[in-house]
Amino acid sequence: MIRAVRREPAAAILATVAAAVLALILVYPLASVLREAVVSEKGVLDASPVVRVLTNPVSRQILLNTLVMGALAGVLGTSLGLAFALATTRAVRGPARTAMHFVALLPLIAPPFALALSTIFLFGRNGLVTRQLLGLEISPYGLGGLLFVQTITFFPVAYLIFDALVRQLDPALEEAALDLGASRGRILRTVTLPLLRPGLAGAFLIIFVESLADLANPLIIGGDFNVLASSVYLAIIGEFDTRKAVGFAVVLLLPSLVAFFAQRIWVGEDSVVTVTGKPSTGRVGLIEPALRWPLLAITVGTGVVVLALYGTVVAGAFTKLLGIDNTVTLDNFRFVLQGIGTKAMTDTTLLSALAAPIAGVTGLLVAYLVVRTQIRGRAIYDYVLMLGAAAPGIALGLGLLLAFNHPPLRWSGATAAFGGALVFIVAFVVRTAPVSLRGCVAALLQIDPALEHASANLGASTPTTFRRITLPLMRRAVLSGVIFSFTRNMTTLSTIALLVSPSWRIMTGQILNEIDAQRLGSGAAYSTILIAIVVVAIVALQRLFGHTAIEVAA
Amino acid sequence: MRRATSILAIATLVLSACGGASAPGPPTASAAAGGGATATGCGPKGSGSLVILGTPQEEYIQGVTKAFQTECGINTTYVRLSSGEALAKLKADKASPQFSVWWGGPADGFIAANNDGLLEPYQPKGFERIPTQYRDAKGVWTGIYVGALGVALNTKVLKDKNLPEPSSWADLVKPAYKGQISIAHPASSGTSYTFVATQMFLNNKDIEKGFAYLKQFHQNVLQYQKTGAAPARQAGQGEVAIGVVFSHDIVAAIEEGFKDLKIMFPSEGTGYEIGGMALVKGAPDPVAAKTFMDWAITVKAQELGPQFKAYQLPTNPDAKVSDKSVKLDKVKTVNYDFQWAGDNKKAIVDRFSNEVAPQPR
Repeated sequence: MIRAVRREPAAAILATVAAAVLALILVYPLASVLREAVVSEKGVLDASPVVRVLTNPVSRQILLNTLVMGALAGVLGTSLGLAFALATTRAVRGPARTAMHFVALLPLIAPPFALALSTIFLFGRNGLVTRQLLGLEISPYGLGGLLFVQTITFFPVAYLIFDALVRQLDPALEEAALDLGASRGRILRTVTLPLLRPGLAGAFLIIFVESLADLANPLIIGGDFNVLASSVYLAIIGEFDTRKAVGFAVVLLLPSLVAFFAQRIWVGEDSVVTVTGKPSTGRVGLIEPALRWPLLAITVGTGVVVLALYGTVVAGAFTKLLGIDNTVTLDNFRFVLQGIGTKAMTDTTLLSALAAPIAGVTGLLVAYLVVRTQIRGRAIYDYVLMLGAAAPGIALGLGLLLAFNHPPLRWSGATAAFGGALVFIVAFVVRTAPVSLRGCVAALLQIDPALEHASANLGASTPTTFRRITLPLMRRAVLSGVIFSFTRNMTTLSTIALLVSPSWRIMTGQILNEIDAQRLGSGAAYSTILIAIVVVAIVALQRLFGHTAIEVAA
Repeated sequence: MRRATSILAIATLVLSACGGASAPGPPTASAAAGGGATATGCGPKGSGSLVILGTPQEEYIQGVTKAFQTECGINTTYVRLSSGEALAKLKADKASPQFSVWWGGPADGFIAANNDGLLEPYQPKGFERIPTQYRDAKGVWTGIYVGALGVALNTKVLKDKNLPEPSSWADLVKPAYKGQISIAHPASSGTSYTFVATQMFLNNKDIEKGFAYLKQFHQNVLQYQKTGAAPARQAGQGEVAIGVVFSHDIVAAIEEGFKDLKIMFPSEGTGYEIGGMALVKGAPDPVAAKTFMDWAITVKAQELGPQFKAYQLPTNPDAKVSDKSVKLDKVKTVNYDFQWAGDNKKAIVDRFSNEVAPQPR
């Protein structure tokens, strides 16, 4: 009883501050989108932008395209991720496994355009492989090319989910089936895959959401295949028609939010499979040769494609005009670094590094609020912060643009405070704090409250207990959140694509400019620099804090 | 309660961290702000920092703002937006403008902006030296460069595909070139709007006939780009055979190494742009803006282009013309009515967005 009284003031203050912050940086921008969608310039209720998207045949086709793309990317990405997880755990071991694991994670750190760019270089109409090597006439512009790039980009998410699941499967179940005389194919079908089912749904829904939110790839190789995210972008860029843009954005928000929260409910709270502590024999090779070889063919083939795509980005950066004039040169780097590139590098790294700890701590505080306090309606905090991850980046970016473009909250644009830096930091934090939240919630659930109770019983106040007991135990989770945030901030495009500032240059925005102008060489140079910064940062942080940073990047 | 504040402190610290640490604000090079100003006779500096909305190639804007900063000691930053994008942005910011000068992009866009009340007339020093056809009589906009619309042909791709080299606008709608044309979208790109307006002028401003052509043309377009100059490089890369783009951008692409490219001027006559420059109404810093505009039409500023692969023709008759520039009198041009093109820009672009671009192919 005494404890409860002592806890409440701190919790109440934390809850109030958190509510104010979340309202300002998340609810207000998203509400601005909704408001713009249902209130006309004259201030009367008028939802015509949304109605138009749903009734106009052209927009309806765009909506249909978006859903088809999301569903197919979800199926393809999930299948490939599953194949990789089965291959790394059941078909190879030793260094081969490590290599395969590494290749499967590589696309996670790709800047948004890098893979689409090299797809055009390699498999474009004048592509090195398709046209110049095989003499084929294939056009990647459209749904096919889009799905190719999205599958490669998003399958690692599914891989990480399945990898965790497959590793936690108790081999005893499979062994029992084997002992009972079932064939290995039958075991896979009737034992292994059913055990992976929660992962299937989860991976599909996450990739579906990511695919819907993808902006860069539809812009580069979408061709005529228009989707909602790029329609939002083009409505602002070409016409600055905010009413038109919010129409697309609201229609995009709906399936994204539904799929995202369906996935949360489906998978349940953060404990997909709990560690049982029972000894696991970890026997590998429970797979028939008839299955092993196709599996290896798919995964090794994909691995080769991933490496080729990355290699092409680097090659494109170091050649004059890849495929046209393959002279090795540093001109692209010179162009980038002597131009706005150096500034973009330092600006982006600085803002990302500033936002990362803020995102980490935001996640931590909200997690604490949700798991450890008795504040009424605490679950709402969780759901609201998760909106930052669930809402497509372009819808969020549009919200930030609408919300922070007018006095007194003029945080965006040339005349804004700090030259518009605030809005970028808000964008980064909103987008990545949810991941820190999930990590911290999971960590908190694993810490026995008895530890904290003991501290409290010995007379420590809640803040002291939090600082001396809880925080040290959660160091890992917070750090993971910070590292993830930094990586994501560096490579995100859709959230910041609509926010321009003459004072702060964001690398992904600059890459978009280069690719818009079809200066593919400097786009590749920018991407190479960006990949290098991210890799160096991950390695450095890993050295500093000593745990596998890249694992958390999902 | 005292301890309770520590959590609050963490939370506020987190929030203020973003403010405090980024307070240095625009870290633009200010070292150049030293001497220059008096030596070259630049005008007053105003607040000493200027934000430009630029429309030409980024390399060019960057070079020009840097040169201006060095010479006149005014910190100058820019945002690059395509013509339609820039117009949209100015309109959206009308209540509290962020930019002081809009520099570059076809005059049609400036006329449309003026019709929306977004510009403030200003006649920069030396205004009368600019030929009358290259400036607005009242100084609403002043021409800074001129360039003809051209067609970039990738001779290698055409040969590989056994396609004849097109030589007219009429050729470009032949079914043989299906999926082989790249052009920007006229909503975002001034280049592309120049093309669209050119088709209107070829049909004596008969919008119906013009659109009939555009609908046929659309059938051959691979994908609409955002930026006007992009199609030159896309054709250079061999992704398409044909790019419709300003001829100076084709020159730049060839210069960059796309050696299979060739410039074609359609036999019916082609359109051209006068790259404009204007003071934004309600500019945050009109004084520095005027200093910039005065400087921008000096011989020195006008001769900067080729350094940054911008091969437009200068409007200042005293400025030296690069031999790589396409002289306008060597090209058959249409009777391009900028006022008409500017006045009808919104209607035509809207119609294009609604009737042409979404057509199935």
